[in-house]
Amino acid sequence: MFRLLLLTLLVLPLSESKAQLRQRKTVVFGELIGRTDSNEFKLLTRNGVIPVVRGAQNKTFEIVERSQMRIVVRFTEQARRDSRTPGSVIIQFFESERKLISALILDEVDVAYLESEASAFEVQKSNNNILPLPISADKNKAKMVVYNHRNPLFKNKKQREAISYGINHDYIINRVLSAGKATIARGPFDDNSPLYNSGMKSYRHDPRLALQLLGNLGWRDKNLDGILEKKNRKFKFKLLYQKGMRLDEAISRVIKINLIKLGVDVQPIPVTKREMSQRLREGAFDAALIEQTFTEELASIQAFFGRVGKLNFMAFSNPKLENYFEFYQATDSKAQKKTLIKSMQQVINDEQPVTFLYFKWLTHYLVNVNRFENFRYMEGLNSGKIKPFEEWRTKFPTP
Amino acid sequence: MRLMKTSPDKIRLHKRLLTRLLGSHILIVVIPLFITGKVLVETAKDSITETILTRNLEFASRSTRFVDLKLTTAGELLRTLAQFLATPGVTQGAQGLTINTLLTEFDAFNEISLIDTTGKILLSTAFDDGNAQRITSPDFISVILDSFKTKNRFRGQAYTSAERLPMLDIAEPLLVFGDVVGILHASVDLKAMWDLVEENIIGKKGEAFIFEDDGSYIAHSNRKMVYSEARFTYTEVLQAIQAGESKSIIYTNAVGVEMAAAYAPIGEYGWGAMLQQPTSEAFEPAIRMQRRVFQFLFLSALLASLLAYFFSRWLVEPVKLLVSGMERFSAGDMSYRVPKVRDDEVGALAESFNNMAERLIAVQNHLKRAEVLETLSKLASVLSHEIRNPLNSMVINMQILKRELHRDSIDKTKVEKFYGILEAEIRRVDKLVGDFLLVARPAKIEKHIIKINKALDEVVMLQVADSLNKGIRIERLYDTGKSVFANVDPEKIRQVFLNIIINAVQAMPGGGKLQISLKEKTLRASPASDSYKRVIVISFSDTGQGISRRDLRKVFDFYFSTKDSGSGLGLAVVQQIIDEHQGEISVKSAVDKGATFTVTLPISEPT
Repeated sequence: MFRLLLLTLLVLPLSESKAQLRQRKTVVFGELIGRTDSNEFKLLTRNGVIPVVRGAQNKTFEIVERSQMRIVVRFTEQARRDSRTPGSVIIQFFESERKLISALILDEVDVAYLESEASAFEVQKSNNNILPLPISADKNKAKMVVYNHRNPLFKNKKQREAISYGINHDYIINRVLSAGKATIARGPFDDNSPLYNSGMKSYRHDPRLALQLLGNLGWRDKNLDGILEKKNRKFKFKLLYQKGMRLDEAISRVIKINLIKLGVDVQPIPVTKREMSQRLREGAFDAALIEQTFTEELASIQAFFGRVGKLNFMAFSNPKLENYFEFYQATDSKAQKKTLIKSMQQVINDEQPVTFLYFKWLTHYLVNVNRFENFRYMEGLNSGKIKPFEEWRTKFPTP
Repeated sequence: MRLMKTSPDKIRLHKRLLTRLLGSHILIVVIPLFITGKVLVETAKDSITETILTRNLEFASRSTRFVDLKLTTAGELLRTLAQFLATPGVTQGAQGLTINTLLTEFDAFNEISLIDTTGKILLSTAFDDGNAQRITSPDFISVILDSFKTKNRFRGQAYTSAERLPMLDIAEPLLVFGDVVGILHASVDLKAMWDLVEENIIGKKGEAFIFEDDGSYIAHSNRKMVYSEARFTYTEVLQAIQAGESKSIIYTNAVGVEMAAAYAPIGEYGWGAMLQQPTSEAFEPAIRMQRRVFQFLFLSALLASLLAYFFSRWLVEPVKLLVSGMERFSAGDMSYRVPKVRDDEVGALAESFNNMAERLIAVQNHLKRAEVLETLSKLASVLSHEIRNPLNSMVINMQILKRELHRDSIDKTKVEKFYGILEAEIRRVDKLVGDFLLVARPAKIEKHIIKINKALDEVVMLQVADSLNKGIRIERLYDTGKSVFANVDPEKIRQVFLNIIINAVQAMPGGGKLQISLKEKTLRASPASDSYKRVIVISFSDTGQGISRRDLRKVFDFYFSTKDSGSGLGLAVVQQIIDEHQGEISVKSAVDKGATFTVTLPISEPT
């Protein structure tokens, strides 16, 4: 009996330390339900980006726990490089960026992606263990307001133009993005792209022109409630944005403030990524604040703006654009193709099926450097980017 | 050469003198220097402490003013907005525009809502799908409306939001002709005050924070303290804040770090702002100054001590030389003179010593001559007395013998008798001359290491029978159970023991007891020395008539005797022999109380 007690006393601290070791070897990744649907979450691995739920049959990891707000994956023995390789990754979903920030500050989350520079620096200011890693945003990743062209409010090009003129892009870039590290977007490609069409209109904030355009179309504030109406229909619509994301909420609020000055009543509605995807897919929306990355090829533009494009949930259709698509496919000339891409941008710019807001330069990963090392590439093409979790190394023992 | 070697006594004297000189220096210079330095440092430290505590209090008060201003501004903005919204003709669009603009432009507002008096939210900056009818709790509305009646506004308690951030509810009434027609409610994000707090951090390790009446942190320079919903637990400060007091304090925080802090209450909220800094950092200038002053003092003291050491050595070296010279002189090197190394007081002392030595030698020579004359006179007197008596006796007896030989009938018996007298007198003169020679021209001593106790025993055994016949008992009390060895001339030492024993026996004509003790002892080599030597101490205590104090001083003098038949050479010879063996002899006695002769001889190791 005494021996058993002695053995228990000896083993207990050891087993605790092993548990602590396991704890340390787990990476907790913080994500927002407004940005990512847990069913769609993708994990960056050495074997590429693998959708966690759909790609569960893989040689890199296995799912050991799954719920709407939490997924736990464990790396296979094959994937682990050595004893310092993180054993598992917990993907913890948060309702709001503020809650994610709190968790980062309290060391409950080891790594997270934050678009807002202000949020990144707030975390850094509050927790020295967390290092914000500014990384270049994806090329041609445009923040924009997309409109449902099935809705009569957005069928008219002039009305869409008026809204674009009504939104203060500069304010969003300089005040909401706080550091102003973004470029005003005029089309799907940013001005660094070789395909960028510099002849596009800028749609800089011009509320007077916007009001004029709307007035020309017959929109009036007849009952003096501050909201425009035409044929007994008020100019009001709902704007979906990603729930819990401070940046999106702030942009939505600016849009609301900007447009109410025109007499357009915007009701921002926060939705989860899942709900956003579903409503876009079903066409059950008026407008949505989204982010979309365009690749510098026809397919990308065609998928989003083409009449039968897979991502054209706006139901936008333009015959001129469709013709360009056909010409593009018919020609082999690179120069002609480039001209055609530029022409497509011009059509999109003229038609304003969406209001392009900005291309962000930087985004931030936040990593607990007190617990992990070797988490980013230091050289090569991926320099500065986050490495797959199997490449990470736990620092231990750390107090 | 041996005389030049520094003796331990001299080293001790030298060191003692050096120590005393250095000690005097420390007492006179170093201690007052340190006391002055300490007083200066303490005065400066007090001054710095007061300055820092006053500065901290000013910072704390400034923080509270900033926070109060921020909250007051929020309240005023909300009041203005409420007045605007209550204005007739303001459209719903304008209302939405205004509250959203205010929310965007004033970062302290987290949410602004327009609520009717039943609790229905009419307008809000919080975005939702707009389908759910949002109702505020009736209890909360009741509290707000009650507050409007008394204060015409509402200020709630701080609380922690779902995002673990401190919030505060405030509300203003929408008044139409004095009637409350709605409530403009705002939740204030107290995080907006964090930057204000951080601006007031003092030093690198300083902290600034704002806390509620229960100690919950509203803002803290270590933001984790707010997120983790920690509390400030120093009750004394919490109570003082509730009493509206501002104060500077030095206290030890929960983790045992001593802090220089200042606190002040914030407006009407019952909150407190506190600034604190570890005293190690706050008083770093004072500590640095203290360290530097003490370093300076230490170096000064060290330098002064070094100088004092060399100065003392400079002073002591000639003294050492002087002492050494005195020792050589006293050891018998009468020709030695102290060199005059410096022309100062010590040099004068050396000169005085040399003069004194010259005079001493002159006096000694004079005394020696006088002593020789006295001895010659005494010798002449004794010899004339001791030799003349037998000569007279011989002359008389020879005359009687001559007359007897001229008789016709010679009486042979008479002739033999007078011859016998003549022979005895001649022998007496011969013995007298022999004894004299023994003293005047002693035989050369031949030392051997012998057992002293055995030699003593042999002498005692020869005298035991004779002593017993005279009614004297000899007792031997030897402390040591083993043999004790000494390097001596055996015959002469036996002579010493015999003379003392015979002397004692003669001092007890009526019988008595002679007690002979022998013991080993360890004594200092000299009174001022640290070294020790081992000796044999042999005492002869008789119960005889004793020696008067006057005679006691002369018992070892030549030709001094209290006995009619004594030559006065026995004890003088004893002392001479003892001196030749580097021993000592002493006597203690009083009339009718016996006498004790004590002989001390150095012990030798057996061969």
